[in-house]
Amino acid sequence: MALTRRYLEPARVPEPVVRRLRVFAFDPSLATRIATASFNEITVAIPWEELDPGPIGEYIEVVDVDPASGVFYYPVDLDHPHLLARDGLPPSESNPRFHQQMVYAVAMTTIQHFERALGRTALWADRRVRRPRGKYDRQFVRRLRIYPHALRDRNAYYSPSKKALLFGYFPVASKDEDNTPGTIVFACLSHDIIAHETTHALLDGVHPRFNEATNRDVHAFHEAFADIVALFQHFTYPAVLESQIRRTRGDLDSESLLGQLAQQFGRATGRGAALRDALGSRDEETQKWTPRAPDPHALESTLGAHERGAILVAAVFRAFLLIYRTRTADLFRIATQGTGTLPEGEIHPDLTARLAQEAARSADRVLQMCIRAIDYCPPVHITFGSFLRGVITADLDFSPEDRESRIVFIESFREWGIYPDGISSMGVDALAWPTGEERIKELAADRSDTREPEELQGNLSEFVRQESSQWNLESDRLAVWENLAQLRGALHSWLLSGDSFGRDYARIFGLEIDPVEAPSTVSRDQNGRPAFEVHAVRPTIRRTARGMTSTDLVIEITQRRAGYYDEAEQKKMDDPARSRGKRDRPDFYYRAGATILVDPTTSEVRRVIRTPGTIVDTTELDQVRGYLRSGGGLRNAFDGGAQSLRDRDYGAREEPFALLHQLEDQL
Amino acid sequence: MPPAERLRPPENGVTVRMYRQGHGDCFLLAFPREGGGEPYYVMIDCGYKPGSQAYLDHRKSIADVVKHLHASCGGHLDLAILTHEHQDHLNGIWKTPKPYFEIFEIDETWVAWTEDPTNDLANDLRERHRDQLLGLLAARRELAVAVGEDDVAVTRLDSLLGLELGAGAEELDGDSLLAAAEDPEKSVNKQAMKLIKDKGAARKGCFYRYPGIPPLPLDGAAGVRAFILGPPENADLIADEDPHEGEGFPEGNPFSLTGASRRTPDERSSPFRRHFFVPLKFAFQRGTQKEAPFFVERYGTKPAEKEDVDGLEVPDGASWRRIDEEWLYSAETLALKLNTGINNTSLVVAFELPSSKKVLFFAADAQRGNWASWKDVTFKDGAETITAKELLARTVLYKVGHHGSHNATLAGTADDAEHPNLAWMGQGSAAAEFTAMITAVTKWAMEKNNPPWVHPLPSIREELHRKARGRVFQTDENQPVRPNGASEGEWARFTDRSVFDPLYFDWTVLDE
Repeated sequence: MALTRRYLEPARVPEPVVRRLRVFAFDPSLATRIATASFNEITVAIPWEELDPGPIGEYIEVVDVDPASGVFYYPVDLDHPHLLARDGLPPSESNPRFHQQMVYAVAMTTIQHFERALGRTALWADRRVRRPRGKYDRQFVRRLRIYPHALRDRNAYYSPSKKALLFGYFPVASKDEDNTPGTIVFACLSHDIIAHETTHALLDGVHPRFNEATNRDVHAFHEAFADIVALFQHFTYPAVLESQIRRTRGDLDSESLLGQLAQQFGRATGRGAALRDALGSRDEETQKWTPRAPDPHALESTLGAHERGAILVAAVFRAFLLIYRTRTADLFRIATQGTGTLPEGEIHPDLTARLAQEAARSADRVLQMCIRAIDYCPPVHITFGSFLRGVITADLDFSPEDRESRIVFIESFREWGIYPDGISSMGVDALAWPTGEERIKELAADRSDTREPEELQGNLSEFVRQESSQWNLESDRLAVWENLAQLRGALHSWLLSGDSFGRDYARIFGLEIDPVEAPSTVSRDQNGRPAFEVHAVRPTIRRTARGMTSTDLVIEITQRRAGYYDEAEQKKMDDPARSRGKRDRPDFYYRAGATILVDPTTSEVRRVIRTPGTIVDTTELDQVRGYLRSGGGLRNAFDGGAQSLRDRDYGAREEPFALLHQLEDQL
Repeated sequence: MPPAERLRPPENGVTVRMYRQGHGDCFLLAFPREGGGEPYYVMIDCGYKPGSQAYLDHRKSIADVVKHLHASCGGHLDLAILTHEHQDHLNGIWKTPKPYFEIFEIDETWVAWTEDPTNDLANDLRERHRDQLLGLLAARRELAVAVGEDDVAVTRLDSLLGLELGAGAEELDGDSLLAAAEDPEKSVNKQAMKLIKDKGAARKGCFYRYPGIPPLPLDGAAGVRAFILGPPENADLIADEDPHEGEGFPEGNPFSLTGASRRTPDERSSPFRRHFFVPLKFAFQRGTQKEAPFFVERYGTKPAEKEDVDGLEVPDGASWRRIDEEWLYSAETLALKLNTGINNTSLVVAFELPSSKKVLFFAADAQRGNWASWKDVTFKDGAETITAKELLARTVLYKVGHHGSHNATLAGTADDAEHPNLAWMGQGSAAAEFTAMITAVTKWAMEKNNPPWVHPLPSIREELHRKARGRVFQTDENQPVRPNGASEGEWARFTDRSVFDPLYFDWTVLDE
């Protein structure tokens, strides 16, 4: 008896590592096409967490309200044993609970890619609460809210104010060749749309002011980056690629194959036309798909945000193809015994599997490179060129041994005419952001009063040691958040402390804290000193070349200056003699600053990534003014509320009298 | 105001008058009459965006402008052209009860084929437009109840819907929109159209013009011919999103925005089967709460003022995360599409002078879709074929599309045969004379619209100034400035043929 009971006693079962959930790989309209039906359902594995109905986990809360229909949909319980036993609900358009499962699964996959690339837990953008007397408090937002059926529109967007993703649905109009009139299309069933919008939310959590459009590239970058994540996340599922590779016998003309696939995704996210222009197109007569050759002058004449963004996607896509080709060259040599010509008939299933695996790995590599780069971008005023520098520098830090991928990126970007301003060459060295030491030497060459690197380092290390001793990155995300908030404050007072070390650091970071040097339009604190905002401090864990893990601190500091459209007015307001009493509302804000990477164990300033100009820089201010006055930048890059998917579909939007789409300026 | 004098063309050529009534179009063209006598007059549109006139120096109302127009043509128009059905092209025509244009004599009226009651596609498009408009007006009403009449989302929507309805010469308000909602056929736009169409029909006729029909001689203006380039006969132009009546749903597809807004909340339905959902009104009730506290906990019911805002962490069910009205905001996107669709139904006319073959090109509010179609438009002229590209090359006057907005003037090169663009215009001998007219009040457009309307887009404006070497008339600029590159002689040749009046600009083209 006792023996039996012992056998019956539940054994301690460890938590599973992952939860497997089924999703559509493409939008459901492709599920009913024979060519794509075979691989449209895939199973994704996401890190295990206990879920409340919703699903509601640590990062995501799906709340399925449909105000236009006046209903709530009952939440799916993914922890129900029946669902656990069969990888969640089977894909279905007509079951809203599957929709909830799918947005959860895909959004979590994207989050996972970010966490892995950036080496830290993902945090959403803070909620800013307005307090009396113009003060703001930050509140911690634990979960991104997802509303799968929020709108009746061809639309889906991230709402920065609600910290939520809103997805729409709409009945198909009669003319759509892929759909049946009257049936309903759900944006929340498109893998790529979910990944795209989740990326917007993640980026907002990383860089609080990243989306302020101060040049042509800002909007374009946001769209392109979200597309890149969606696209390459998609390529990381080997199942998606396998059937295509089999069907085309691993045709070496991989550009055609993968380019077409990329376009399928483009079609699903509604950005087909722009991507089509950037990647290539199918000849109307011969039906043969031809890739578009990179055009180094394309950017010069392309001003619309989506078209510019498509060029960045094309450049990254080309880098991916080059990596993939290099990595599969040996496989083709083996399979063809060096002839380069495959025998007639189907290719060996093993070869298919290997090719698909390599494609998926290449995609993952590209995805990681691109995501890592966002820690290596200036805090505001992103350009395609500085993104390239970010990609290269981050990759130098994370994978120093794999030179090839960096060279391929540079090659592809150069072929598309993407290069940063003010660098002497397109070599890896020139592109990498300077280290603290290099900055100090640079400054020392100009001025004699700068301290030696060792001396400065000593001072910093004291501060960092004090502040970083008690954080724990594994604890609850709220605790991490509190820790980082404290660190932000401490860093601010340290830099401000007024001793000469702070001043030296400010100079290295490209800040202006001298009350006399700064024009009066630069924001000041209560004591009349130029103010700066430490708007983010975050850790990032990477593996060093020797296999150790190392934690860096990523610090973003910006300053703000009032800008006026009228240059004469600007001059008047800049004048130090002007009384600093009541201020008029400026026409715009000009921001400048730096992202700084610090290694807390060695107190080394590892990278200094500055905006093109400092806050005193009038030329930069003029450029921003020029851009804003030309009608750009009136809207914030996330403000997709009015950008329907259909609009994105038109290479250049068919729009409008009003300016919802005025970003697409032509000519 | 002293009575205006008649507008008189040169013996050999044409005088174009651009009225400066506000942000909108109103043109009067005077050609010498065949066999002598009073000139042959053509009017193209008469309307403006209410409020924009206040930004102009002349301080005249639309009534004054129409009075001036009436005197300038002696109350007689040989031809009236209404390009498309938008407020800023029509509201100077109609007012209740006494229409401004009641006293005009009109011999002939031209409108686009999209008005043709015998054309199935045109009827279909109009039907769809009406359907959508009704839905949008209903959505607007609901949104106003939810967020208040003064909310910026509502005023923005009103401005867009105002274009479609006309809604009177005064500032728009909820009441006039409501009245229009009850019967869109009574809108200012529709009535203005009807008045001018009826007047023409009673004399020589009201004609529905199709692109590519053989050149039309102006009956009375010796040798002057008109070419119709747009709108194209293509339903995609008036791209709309929702299936409409006739596709099985009497009030639009119930799952579309407009389909839902036209139904009462109780009549609305979900696209999913009944066992998947609980209606909102039951979700927060006691019985349901026990069954599914999820909705109360996660979505929340607490009003904002009763919420805890002091915690470190955002509370569950926070009020600021709810989305009760969010779907109604999409109405703005739809309204924009509607606007674009109608802009693309613009009748695009080119007038050709008899001996010099110079062309005056009136693009109305044509946007990308309309422009793109010109590449395939050709005209049979006896044995010859004339292409749109040839007409554009001979263009000496370009009435800039849609207030100079971003995709109503396309960029490109002269040798690109596929994509009609600005570079096609004013080639060869026409280059020295090429002149542009922009009907825009920029300050009003930027300040009174949210988001601002960038009219004209600076890059388009700059390109026009460059191409025309400064010869650009703009409603809100009293006189163009001589650019650095232009000699005094060159500039004088332009200004000598121009009149810069606070109320209008005249520009004369000689047929030589």
